[in-house]
Amino acid sequence: MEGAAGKIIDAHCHIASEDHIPRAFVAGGIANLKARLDSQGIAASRDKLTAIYLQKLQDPLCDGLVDEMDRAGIAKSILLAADFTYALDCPISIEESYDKHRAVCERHPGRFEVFGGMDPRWGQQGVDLFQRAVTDFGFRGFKVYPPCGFSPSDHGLFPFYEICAEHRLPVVVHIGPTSPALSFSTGYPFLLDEAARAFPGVNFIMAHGSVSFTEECLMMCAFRPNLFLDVSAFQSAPGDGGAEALRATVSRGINHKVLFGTDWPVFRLQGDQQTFVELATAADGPLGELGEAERALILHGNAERLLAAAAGETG
Amino acid sequence: MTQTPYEERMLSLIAEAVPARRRKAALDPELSLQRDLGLDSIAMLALLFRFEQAFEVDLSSVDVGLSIGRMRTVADALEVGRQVLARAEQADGT
Repeated sequence: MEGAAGKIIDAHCHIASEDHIPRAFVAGGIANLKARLDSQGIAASRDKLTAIYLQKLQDPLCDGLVDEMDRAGIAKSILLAADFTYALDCPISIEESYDKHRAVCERHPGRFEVFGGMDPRWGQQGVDLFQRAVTDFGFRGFKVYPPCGFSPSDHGLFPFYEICAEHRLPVVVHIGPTSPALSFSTGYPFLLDEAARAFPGVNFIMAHGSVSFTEECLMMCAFRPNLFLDVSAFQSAPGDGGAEALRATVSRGINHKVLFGTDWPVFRLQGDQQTFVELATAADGPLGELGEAERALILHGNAERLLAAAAGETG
Repeated sequence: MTQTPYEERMLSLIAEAVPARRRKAALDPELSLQRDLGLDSIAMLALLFRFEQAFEVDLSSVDVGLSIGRMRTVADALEVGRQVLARAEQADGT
């Protein structure tokens, strides 16, 4: 991993707290886990699995995440404030969630950027809050979570995309399945195409493109200039910790469109940030086999380029 | 090499967790659980639960994520198991 350690940008993280990842969301994931363990004859109760998982959601100020970033050589992480507040029972409002994300940024200067999420059904109130988050709070991108029940090309999102176009902010769009508490039918990447075509000046990042609808995501990245993908959730690929999924993604000639990401804290039961970085960057690992320039693009260069545009640093 | 009863039992649990296509005649300590033996994260979690049942310890007091993160090789799994048992013994003694 020559030259990359200490510069890595994790393009896909969340604050590890039930404030931002609500209990209803977690319960869906636990149901899947329990079904798989049950099939192996392991009697782990739902309560026990939930307790084990919730151990990993106790880092509301991101002190633990910063420790892990330091050990893994991650300079900066992008915190995605997904808005579940319309679709699920949540302990705090999206406005309060934004405030807590701001507090994390103030506590750890230079270590985080925030992409604010908003369910389009909040209407003008949501647009106004997102606008304020961009101009007053310094948020550097938009997070869209279609499984909450809308298409990423829903016209209710267009006012948000207009703000993103004006400020050159990237938009992260969840792709593929998620907690079974939510809908899978809106996770298909081609649903994003209308918006990507309507807003050619906005860069859209398809989250989890290395494990969900990978062929479609790769094809869209290859042919639509303003589409990117992040590899977060590669850890969910079966068998080898995600190495093969990463290898398949980075061997298709679109590494100027691929961003490294982990989806922390979702996979904390599988390891820490150092584990995931090492898996990706080992000499015989998926990124270790690339040339230095391509590896640098994936680990930090592509994210830097998108963030620099959002900060008005490029022409 | 003579195995202790603990090692024998733990290696048997690991062997049970290995998918048929990755089975080995012997579980060398340096084998990677993921790369060589094909244990994914859920299989590792399942292994910990089998460990819990076999050794009658309570995983509630264990940082499961940290434990799985440390279990990279067969030798690591043996060591993590030893540490969990030592902590459980300490807890019983207090």
